[in-house]
Amino acid sequence: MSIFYDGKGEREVRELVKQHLDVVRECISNVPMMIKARKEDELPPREYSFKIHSKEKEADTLRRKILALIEKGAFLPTIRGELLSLMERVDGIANAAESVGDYYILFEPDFSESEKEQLLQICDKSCRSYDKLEKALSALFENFNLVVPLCTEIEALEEEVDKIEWYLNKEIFSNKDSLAMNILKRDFIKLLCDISDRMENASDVIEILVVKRKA
Amino acid sequence: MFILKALVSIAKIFPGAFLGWGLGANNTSNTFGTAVETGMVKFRDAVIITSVFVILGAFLEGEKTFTTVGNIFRDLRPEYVFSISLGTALSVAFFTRIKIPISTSQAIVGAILGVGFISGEKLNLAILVKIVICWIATPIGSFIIGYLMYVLLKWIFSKIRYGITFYNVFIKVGLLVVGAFGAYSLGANNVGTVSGIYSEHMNMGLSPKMWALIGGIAISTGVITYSKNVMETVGKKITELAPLMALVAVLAHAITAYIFTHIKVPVSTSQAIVGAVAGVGAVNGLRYVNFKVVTGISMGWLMTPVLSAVFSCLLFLILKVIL
Repeated sequence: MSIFYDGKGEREVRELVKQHLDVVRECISNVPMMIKARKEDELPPREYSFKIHSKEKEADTLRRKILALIEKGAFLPTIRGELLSLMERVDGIANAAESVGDYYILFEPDFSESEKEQLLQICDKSCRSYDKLEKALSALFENFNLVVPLCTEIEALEEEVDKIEWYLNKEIFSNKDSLAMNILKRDFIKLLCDISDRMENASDVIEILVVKRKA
Repeated sequence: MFILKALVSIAKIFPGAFLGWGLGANNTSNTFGTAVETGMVKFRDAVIITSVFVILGAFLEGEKTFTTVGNIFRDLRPEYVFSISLGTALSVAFFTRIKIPISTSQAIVGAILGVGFISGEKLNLAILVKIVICWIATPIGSFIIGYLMYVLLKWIFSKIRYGITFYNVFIKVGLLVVGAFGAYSLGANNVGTVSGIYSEHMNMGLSPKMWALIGGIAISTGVITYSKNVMETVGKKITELAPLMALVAVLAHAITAYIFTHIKVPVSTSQAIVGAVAGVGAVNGLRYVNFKVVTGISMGWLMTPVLSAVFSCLLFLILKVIL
């Protein structure tokens, strides 16, 4: 750090993190729409998957910009490593959404209406979890005291997602579909739940960052 | 004739300047070691800030400690001063070379005592007792200051709303400000170690202020040319502390040194920083203080005055034979 410190790099990182979060949100908010959509709709699932793809690409570009700024010297060296790891994890959420989109378009698992309903519940909880993650990240920059309760809420939502996953898998493997189709469905559910898993991982990094820095 | 006179003056001053250089090379680590080693402050910036503030501290307040160090023995001849300074400088340079931070104030007092005793000079016991009490009080004082300041900071931080943005600025600016104050305290307190006996016993027509300035410049030269080695040692040892704790520890050690400047006794900034680190660490419970390490460091402190006394006495005896 130079004697002449103006905090410009840090401000730019903050702004880019905000933009990155917005783009990742767009990625995951397209997932439930993709699941709801039908082939004959004006916007079929494929279109949503493309949207997720393009947003994931945008998120990647923003992530690289953030990394470049941090490498240039924004923030204390003792914070940089954890911030980089955090950005990787947040970006991983967009990657997970992209994998969900790809899988859905490629294998077209044939979910029943009841199964779809539960998939949408998982999506809803993931989106709620993402709201908390966004708030936790904002609190990381502004108010450490809010971070830990938000991370606890993310953990609780992730547990709820796990519960739905378990019951949904049980339901799927007790129906009369072929084993192959059921395995395809199970793998899709696993990918879908991976989104909230990754949110929990990101919140863990935020929590560690704060706990280590609290006086 | 003028050149010869100048050469003689330079020869007289050389051991003191050498000692100042060693002090600068050895003790800068206490103020900026952690910050530089963790990359939070560039070495170049640390050196610039330290050099400027060491000279300022020495020039503005350095003479306060002169009478204490200079009067442990009431009458020291110039050749004694020469042996004491050179012996101390050699021991400091030796420890700096092997990258161990030591107390230069203890080193010079050890040397003064050694040379004073073998030359049969009259000891000023009151001053010696005052110095020893201050030596004991230094790590204890910085422990208490470090402890209280960290408790206070924790309380303040629990009352305010802050995130990583504020934390980042607080640490960055804090390290520079506290480092500058640490350098100022180092100059103000420790220049007495370098110039005290010169000012009191070398009749060269220079005022105490001038001796303080010369001492400050000598310390700065050590900071600029050779401080990186010890900085690496100290920095890596203290890196395990969180930046906020390290910041408080550096501030506590600087305050301690500054207080002792006003008590007119040069103390060890190395001892002050270890006491402060222990104090800050103790806020989370005394079980977090590694007493084994503290004991090891204390043994090193005992060795410093003994070694420099041996060096100085040997030089004194050699000079006695030659002259």
